[in-house]
Amino acid sequence: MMGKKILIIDDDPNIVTYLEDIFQDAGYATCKASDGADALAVVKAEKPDLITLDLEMPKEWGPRFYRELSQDDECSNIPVIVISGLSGNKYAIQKAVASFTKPFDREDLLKVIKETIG
Amino acid sequence: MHDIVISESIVIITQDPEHGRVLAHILSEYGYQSSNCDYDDALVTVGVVRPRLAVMGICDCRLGQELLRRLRAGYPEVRIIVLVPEGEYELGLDFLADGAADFLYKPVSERALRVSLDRALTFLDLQQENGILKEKSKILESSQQLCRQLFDEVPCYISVQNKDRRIVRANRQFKLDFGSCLGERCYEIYKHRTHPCPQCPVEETFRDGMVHQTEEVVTTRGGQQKIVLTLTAPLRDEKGEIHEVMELATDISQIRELQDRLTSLGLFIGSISHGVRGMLTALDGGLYRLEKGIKSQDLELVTNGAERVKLMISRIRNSVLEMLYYSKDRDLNIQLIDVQSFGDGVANFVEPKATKHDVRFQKEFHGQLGRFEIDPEVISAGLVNILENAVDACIEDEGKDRHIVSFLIEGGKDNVSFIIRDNGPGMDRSTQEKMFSLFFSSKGSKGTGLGLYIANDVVHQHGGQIHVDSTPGEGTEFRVVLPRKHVRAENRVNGGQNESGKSDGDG
Repeated sequence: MMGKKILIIDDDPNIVTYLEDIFQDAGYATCKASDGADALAVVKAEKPDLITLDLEMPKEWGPRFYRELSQDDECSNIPVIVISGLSGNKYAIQKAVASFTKPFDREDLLKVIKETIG
Repeated sequence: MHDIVISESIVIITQDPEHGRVLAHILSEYGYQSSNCDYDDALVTVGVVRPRLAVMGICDCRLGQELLRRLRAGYPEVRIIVLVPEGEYELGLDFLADGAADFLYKPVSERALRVSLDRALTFLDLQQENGILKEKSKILESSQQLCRQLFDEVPCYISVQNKDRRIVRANRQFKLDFGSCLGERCYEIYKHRTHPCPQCPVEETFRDGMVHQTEEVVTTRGGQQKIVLTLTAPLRDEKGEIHEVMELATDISQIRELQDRLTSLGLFIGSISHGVRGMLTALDGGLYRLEKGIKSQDLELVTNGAERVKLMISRIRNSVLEMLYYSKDRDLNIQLIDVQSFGDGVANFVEPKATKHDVRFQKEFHGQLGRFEIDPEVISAGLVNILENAVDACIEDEGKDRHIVSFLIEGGKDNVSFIIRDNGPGMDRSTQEKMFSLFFSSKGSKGTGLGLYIANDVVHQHGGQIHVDSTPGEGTEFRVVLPRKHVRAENRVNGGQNESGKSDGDG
């Protein structure tokens, strides 16, 4: 049975598939968006409990999406975990629950998610 | 005229001691310190006293001439006035010819003696001044020579400009690279401009008398562009007014090139590390599926996981190879290659990927294909890169139901053309202009931004060209033209120096 829902935002379909695999295997439902520009609409439609966010994407990059998200009353409380290949990603979104640099440790990521949304 | 001569030594040489005492008395009144001696002691006395002047009474013409000759030889700096018997004009002239400073008749009048001594002293003073001037002139000449040498040999461009901004002097290096420029204006010579440059440092120095510095791009008479660091300094006249300004320009092109190279290396490392991190994560994803499939004995999952691993390994491999290519200049390994089998090899590399993603791959070879001289490894890598881009573009394109990538080879007399056409999403003008630039990628984390840069580079290294024609929504055509015979070309070219068919057409 699927529990809490996680929105995966990443432009690389292979990484999206990987995250879907591990989240679903850990009992979470998933939904996805390939770019910051489309992601807000997906947030509104799917109402996820947590978001994993890549920073560098072709159309709109992660921090700008986060700004829009945090200005929207409906969605501003959704916890965000940054998963990015950028080495300075800790500083990009300071209010993020956690920041992981690719390639990340699967167990650590799942542990943070469990602590955040159960 | 010397009214009083202070402490001037003089030697009086005479065979008549009485006459000597009278002369000494007269001379002491003018302030001379006399030392008297006869002919026998003359050389010794002059040697001890070292006077500037001597007076010599002549009794015996032969002895007198002999002594004068010896004194002149031993002490040429001493001015000797001879006293000859009255009326012996010819004798006096003989002594003058032998080196005497003057001759007077005996008995000598006080006035004549004084005038003669004064003239001798004036002569000595002038001689001394002349010596000093000669010495100074020699120093000045050697300083000027040194300055000229420094001005000419210093390895930078020096020009001196007047208030009209006209060049009044220029060093050898300047004339060598910018031609004969005296009377011309700096901005005409350096930049082929018709107006002064904004914030001209020479202008500023004329205004405030301070040193000013700028960095400029100048063009030599041979058309070569150089980046120069310019420093200006005021040259003042005797009143302290700035009448000219010196401009010193140092060629820093090599430093800038090195900086650019380091900057691009920094960008490169950033770009590569981001891409590689993404690929490693996706590799983890493939391994995860593979392990999960093995655990659950799910063959379909195993196969899917293995394919993902293979795909990521191939991407990582390409990135590493591109990185290796970029980090080291390599020489081409030119070989005579059969065009048909080369083309087949390239096609075989890409066709499976296209087929797997439902992209039709069409291969057409026309004309006399024959053989050509290339480095097959780098050219095939370049062509595969362009073909894979075409397939990727089709996979990404959601605007059409059916996609085709066609690979055509046309054999001409002197050239072989490879035409790669796709009906993918096409590119806008901005993407076309940037696509051969270093680190430009439209593929996000999947591309390093090196592939097309390297493709363009290797084609240029072969003396060939890449033409691109693309229309957004319709597709893209790359035409790679390579000469059959290899000609050595400039090594690396910068991105953007390719020929874009679209851009040519527009303007």
